Amino acid sequence: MSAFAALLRRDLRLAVRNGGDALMVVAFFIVAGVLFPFGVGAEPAVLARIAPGLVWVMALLSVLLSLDRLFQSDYEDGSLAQILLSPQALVLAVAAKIAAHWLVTAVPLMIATPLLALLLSLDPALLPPLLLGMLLGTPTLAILGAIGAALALGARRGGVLLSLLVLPLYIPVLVFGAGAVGAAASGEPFQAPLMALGAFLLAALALGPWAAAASLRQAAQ
Amino acid sequence: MIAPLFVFAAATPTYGAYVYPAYLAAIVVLGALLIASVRRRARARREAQALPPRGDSA
Amino acid sequence: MHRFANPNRFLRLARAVFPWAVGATVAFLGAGLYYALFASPPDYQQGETVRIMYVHVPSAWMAMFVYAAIAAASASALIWKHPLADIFARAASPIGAAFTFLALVTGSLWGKPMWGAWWVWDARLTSVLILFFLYLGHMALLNAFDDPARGQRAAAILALVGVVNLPIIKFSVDWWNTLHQPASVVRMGGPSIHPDMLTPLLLMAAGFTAYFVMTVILRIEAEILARRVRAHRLMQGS
Repeated sequence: MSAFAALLRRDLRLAVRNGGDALMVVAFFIVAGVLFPFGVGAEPAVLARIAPGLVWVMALLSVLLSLDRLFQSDYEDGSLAQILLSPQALVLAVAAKIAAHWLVTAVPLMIATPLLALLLSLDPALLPPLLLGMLLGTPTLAILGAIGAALALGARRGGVLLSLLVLPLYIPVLVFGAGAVGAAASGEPFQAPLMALGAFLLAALALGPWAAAASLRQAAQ
Repeated sequence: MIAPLFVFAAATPTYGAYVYPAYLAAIVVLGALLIASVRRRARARREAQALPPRGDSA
Repeated sequence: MHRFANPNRFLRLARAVFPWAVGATVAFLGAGLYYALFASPPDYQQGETVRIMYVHVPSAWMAMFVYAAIAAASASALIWKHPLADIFARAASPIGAAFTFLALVTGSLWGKPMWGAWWVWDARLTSVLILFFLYLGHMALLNAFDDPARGQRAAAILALVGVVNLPIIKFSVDWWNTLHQPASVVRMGGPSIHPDMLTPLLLMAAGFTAYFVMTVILRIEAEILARRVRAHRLMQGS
């Protein structure tokens, strides 16, 4: 477990020292989201109607954008080989990297979400289901993304390949995440979609790190 | 490849505007894949034949 | 299984099976098309449009069956390093993608007269679309690396991850209230479909299966020979 904590601390410290990277993802999230009022027109009613889906899609794309660096820098500077050689379970190391990635990208996204929601005239009453959904959904995104990032490690045009691999797997999270906000908007209880997101998260937690570890091991062969 | 299409077109006019394109799509997609596979094997056989004979390992 | 790990032994078997596969494809598809287009009744609700079913349903079955076969082959490639399993997965992927594409296209052509829309975002349609993307990702990953073996291992893991989608496709019509009709052939208590419609359906399914066997043999042989050529050129080059 101390290896887990050590790797987590190292990744977080790296992220803090290169602070710009995490902020850039948040900036992308806001800037890309702000494009939509220009695209679909700035009527508040229209924007409020599509805002939950927009926030979710932007969050998905922001997570995706940050994924290619998840293992790439460790792969290039050789620390990945060190991690693979170490006697610690690779699954724990992968879990630590995923946790660090989630803390560094998804948490700032959630902090920035109220701002984007405000810009897209989302009803403030809908923020709790949106944020709860993101809290349950973004770890699943990070885990699935880690599998994809490990698979595409070292590929030609890895970034494009990564989105082709990962985006289809993100669809269920998007459906239920936006569904929770949609249910809340029409005055229905939104527990069921949130529970589905929780179920995805548990399944991804149980299986994802092993799949990502297996992909990493074959990438380094 | 072309002849069955005409038979189709002659035989299925009464089935509405959607049945015929569905079968056409099946014939085109599966036919194209089959032709591509046959050509791929033909090329592979040609290239393998050009190799000098050697041991039994692949 | 492991008897056929030797490509030469497999090639001999495949060359023996191939004429039968061609014959079965022609016979089953011929009979299936005859029954589907001439010797089956129109549906009392859907009219003649029901004939789309005889391409749509077998394509959808094949789309899932081929994916399951690829996943099984990928598992045996990862666990036992079975060399032919990799070749099979590479050969079968475009065929499965073609069947999935066909299922989507014919489904769209069926949906327009029945539901009034080319496409609806229903759970069954969405999950099949995800299956199509998985096939695309599988093929892209296979060819994304300079070292083909690396692409095969990555694609094998992706194929196994994507297996989650198969039960979702199968049960999507039961779990969610969808526009897509529920299963009527493979279900508890026997098929609910009339025998006159079941005959062309099963004939077409058999024809598609034979087509798959025929095409996959063609592609496997091409791949084995291409590898032999590549290995030879590498030896020449060094």
